[in-house]
Amino acid sequence: MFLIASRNLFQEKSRLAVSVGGVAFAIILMVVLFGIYNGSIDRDVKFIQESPADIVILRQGMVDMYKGVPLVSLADIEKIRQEPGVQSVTPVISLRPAVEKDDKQYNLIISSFDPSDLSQGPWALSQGTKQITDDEILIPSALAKKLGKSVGDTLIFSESTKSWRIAGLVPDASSFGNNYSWITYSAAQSFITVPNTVSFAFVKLTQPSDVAHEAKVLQAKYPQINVRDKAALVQEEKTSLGDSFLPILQAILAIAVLIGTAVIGITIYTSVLDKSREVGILKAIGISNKQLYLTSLTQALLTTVLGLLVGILLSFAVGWFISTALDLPVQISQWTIAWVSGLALVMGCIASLIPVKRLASIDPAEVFKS
Amino acid sequence: MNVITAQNITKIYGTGESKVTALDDVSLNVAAGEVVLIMGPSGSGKTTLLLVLGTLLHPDSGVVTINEQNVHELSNRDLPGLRLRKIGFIFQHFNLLSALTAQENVMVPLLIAGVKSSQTKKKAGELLKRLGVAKRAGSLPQNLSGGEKQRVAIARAMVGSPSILLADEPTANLDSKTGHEVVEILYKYAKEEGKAVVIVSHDQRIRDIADRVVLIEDGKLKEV
Repeated sequence: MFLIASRNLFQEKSRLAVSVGGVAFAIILMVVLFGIYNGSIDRDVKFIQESPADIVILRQGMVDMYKGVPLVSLADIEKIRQEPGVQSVTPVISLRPAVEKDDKQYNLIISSFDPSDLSQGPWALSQGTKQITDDEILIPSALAKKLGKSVGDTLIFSESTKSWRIAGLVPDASSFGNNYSWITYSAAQSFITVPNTVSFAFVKLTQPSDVAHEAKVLQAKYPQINVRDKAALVQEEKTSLGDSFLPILQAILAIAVLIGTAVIGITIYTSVLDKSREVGILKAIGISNKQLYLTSLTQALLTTVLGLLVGILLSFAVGWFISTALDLPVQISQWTIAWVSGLALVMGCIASLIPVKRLASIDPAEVFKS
Repeated sequence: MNVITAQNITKIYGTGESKVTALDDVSLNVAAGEVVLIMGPSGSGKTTLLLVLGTLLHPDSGVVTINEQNVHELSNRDLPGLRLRKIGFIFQHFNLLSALTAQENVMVPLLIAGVKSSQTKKKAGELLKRLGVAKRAGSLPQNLSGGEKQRVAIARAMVGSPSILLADEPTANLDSKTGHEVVEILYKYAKEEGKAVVIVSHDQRIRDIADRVVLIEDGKLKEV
């Protein structure tokens, strides 16, 4: 049946092109949207992921590590530093100022770091240096582009007069409207309202073989703070972000699936309408309804596979364009491609059912009429 | 031995005043190796009889038997299989599949029957050669002449070696010479391979090769 299906499909090249284009559009929509979703989530947790820590210490009852007044006591941090198995503890002060340009506000999430310790601070720099002074700041390269700033320029936070010199640009540090930036620990201390406190701290273990267990031990000993295994914290952040954006994404996904299914279904259906007489000939010869359905399924799946190939290839191009032109992180993973492919095949199977009733109703006796 | 028998077939179209009796208690037997020509004026019921014999139309009454199998005992699911194995159709308008080449058209019944592609290709090639259109094997129907199309259509009807060939006006759209050649092919199929051939036609040339000629008028059949 493959022969009949493929020949019928390729006979009407313009219709095939429209159909493949429709499927490809649906595939691009799915792949790129999920690419942006995955890329944004990964980028949003990059700060924690790349931090020099096995365990993160937060203020008790805190969900968002960047929000709220810094209330993790330095005394507690010092005690933890003395705990057996703890290699190092890095206190971090986090601030959430904003900068403005042309009446547009950009939110910063600033974390402090010690420039003398190369393991701290941003994961990489596209320009500049990590060796910053107390008047300098490291900002995302994407933010610098939006602000029209470069290394050496200055910026001032909203409702502030202090000027910060941009000492370096950090790649992949903007996500979901947040711009991860860094200043020195000593500079950040001037923003502290409760003395001897920090926002959170990164704990490095000497033997990080059982981080979850170590986190539990520390939590039991220090109930006044929130001790979190870094991997679990990353997962929680991902889940939290996912819960916020997934419903919107699912709605768009449903629309994409409907578009794809409708396009394939209409193509196959119109093909059946056009070829009603030839279907009648096949029925007269002796093809069964099951075989006719398999022919329709083969046509639908061929259209799907062609649309899928074109769609996936174009998704990489569209993804590259979006990440370059719009500074949105697009991460197209093998898993995204695998499940979009699976979904597309289901789409093809459903679409192939659309002409089934019409196929069954074609009367082979009609073939004998001129 | 009769390959196909139709007994007391009646087929009525429409109801009330628009009622038309297309076949009125018609009986016909065709033996292996026999060529039967059905003639009659337009609207006399010739094609209806062909459709009933070909299991494409259910009569209102009567029985059709093919190779001793009462076709009315078969379900709608089983009838396509019977047609595939036992019946070959030849149409007035050739009815080739437009997207397939001549050879692929001939391969179709075997592919439907599940025969391996390599075997179907070989068999279709041999048959096209026998019918003198081997050189056109790779051509699409739109590029074939009327005579070539009908030869390909005949090859398609014969490729599964069905015990019955049912031909509806097979020479109507052909010139005299080609029509004669087509008649020869059908005659040989009946005589050399021992198959039953039933032809509906107005073509007087077919009378010469037919073993029997039956005339159908107002749904009633009579031997000529």
